[in-house]
Amino acid sequence: MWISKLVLDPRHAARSGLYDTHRLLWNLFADRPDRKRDFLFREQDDPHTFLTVSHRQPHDAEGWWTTQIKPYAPKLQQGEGIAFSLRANAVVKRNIDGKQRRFDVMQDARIRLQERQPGIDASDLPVRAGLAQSAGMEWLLKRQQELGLSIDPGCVQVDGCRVERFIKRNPHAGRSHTISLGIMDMQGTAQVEDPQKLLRVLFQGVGPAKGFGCGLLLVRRL
Amino acid sequence: MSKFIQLHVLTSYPASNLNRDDLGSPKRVVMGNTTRLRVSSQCLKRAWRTSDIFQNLGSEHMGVRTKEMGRHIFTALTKGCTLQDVLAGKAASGHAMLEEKEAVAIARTIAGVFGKNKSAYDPKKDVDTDDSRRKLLESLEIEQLAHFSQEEIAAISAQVEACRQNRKAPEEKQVNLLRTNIKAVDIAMFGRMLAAEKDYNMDAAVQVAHAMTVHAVTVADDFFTAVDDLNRDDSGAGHMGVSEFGAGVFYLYLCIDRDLLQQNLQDDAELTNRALTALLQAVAQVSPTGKQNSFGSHAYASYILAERGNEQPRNLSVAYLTGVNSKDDVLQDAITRLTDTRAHMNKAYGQKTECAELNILTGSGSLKDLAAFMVG
Repeated sequence: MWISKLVLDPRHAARSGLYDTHRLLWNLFADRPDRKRDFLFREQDDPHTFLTVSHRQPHDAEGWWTTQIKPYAPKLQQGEGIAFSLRANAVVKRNIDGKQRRFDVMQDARIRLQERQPGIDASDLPVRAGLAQSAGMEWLLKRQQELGLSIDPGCVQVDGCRVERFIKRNPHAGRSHTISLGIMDMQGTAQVEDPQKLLRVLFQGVGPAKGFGCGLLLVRRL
Repeated sequence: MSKFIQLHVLTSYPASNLNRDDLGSPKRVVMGNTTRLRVSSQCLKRAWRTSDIFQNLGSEHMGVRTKEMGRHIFTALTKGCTLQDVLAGKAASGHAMLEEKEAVAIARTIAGVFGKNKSAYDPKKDVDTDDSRRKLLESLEIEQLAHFSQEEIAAISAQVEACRQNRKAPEEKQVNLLRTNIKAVDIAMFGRMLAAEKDYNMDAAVQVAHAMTVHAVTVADDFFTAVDDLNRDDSGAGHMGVSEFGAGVFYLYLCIDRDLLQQNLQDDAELTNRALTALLQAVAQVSPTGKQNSFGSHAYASYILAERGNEQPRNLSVAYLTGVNSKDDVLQDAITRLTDTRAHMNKAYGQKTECAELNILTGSGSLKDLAAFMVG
């Protein structure tokens, strides 16, 4: 596997919106038109900067990117302490009128509170930052085993839930539609419980919306 | 007599994590474009206040910092014991026991004098009653920490007993519990703020800077940089990143307004001198408690420079604007820079503050002599 830090030339970034930037990123990994996504990515705080984890090295045919590429073969032991960072589209599935729908965990927490206290005014619900912390943490702790981690609950910080909207074009149908995603940034410390599972998660990601820059779990040793 | 006493202290801590942020990393500060470890002044003050050295000044001179006075009053009234018993953690009884409803009203009225009450708990409006006890007790707290002097605790205690007799809360206007003539050393030193009752605020006589290392420390790598480390088989058990648990030589600065301290202590010169001595001892010998169990990083100060004078006080941290970079002896370098900076500063501004020092490297000076100098 490879991990890469990719910075898009600002001149090209200026010409494209967020969804287009994602498409440009995609081009680095699409060696043939029918290629399925086989990489994870996350936008960094620095402008036009992305981290990717991929099976193949990114290939910048046009020369629009500054790339730093490193082999990615984490050697982790059980019991080791790590710090992690995850940008996730944390969702739960609910049955609504017989149909399964996805809600992001904070929206869901608000709905559940309203169900328990019918007629409560939306402004009387707990503040969003607090809800994001508790709902995001609950979502994360439920996945500990799947992640191969034992997370220190006192050392997890969830940064609010922001909603990002993407316009997705479908070139074949000539239509476009909007996708909105609730995105949370989580960070904290944990112990490695199952290195094999963790490795799989590091390479394959966590949760939905991986095509929109969610689910890349980043770790470093403590 | 000199108005200001300033202390410049260098303490070397071994691997430690004294003062953590919310992710468990040591607190940091950027100075002179390099990152330093930091121990916040709140953290230091708490360690000093709660140390045996301060407690030995006598319990009558130590305040109690809490949000929970209302809970204690409630417990005293419903369990039939005195407030002193509750505060001392003693199980006692023998006094009249009040109904909870009466006790809640009394506790809220009295605690409300020292800060804004949390909103009242109404079991009828609560959907989830499993937790009602905890919620009731929490509702008796005040919103912010308040610092109670022993004189005030005595007054509260007397009021509680009066209310126990009457079985009802006093009229708000008639409660007279706050005191200005208090002799609490911790309040006199570090001040207190009561948002609702400004007349009873006390200005801190001791200003404490955040302690920071005199040298740069490596910051935890970002995730991309850290990959090199991850790729290595680094399976040494209990591996610890240096950056997370940094060792360092910390510079700490305090400025004591001696006149104000004595004024805050009701002009009790003897108590002021004892307080100054206790502060010096605590600064020199007490380490913050963070992670002491895993690191045992108790450390004494290696160098203390005490100054007294009437000139405007000044922090000498500028001596470390460029981090100490020597491989051989960081401590010696740090001392040299500090004394040089002081000498140049005094020359430039034409000042002659008196000074005394304690130096572990040369074995000169003693804590006793420093204390005598401060009390002067």
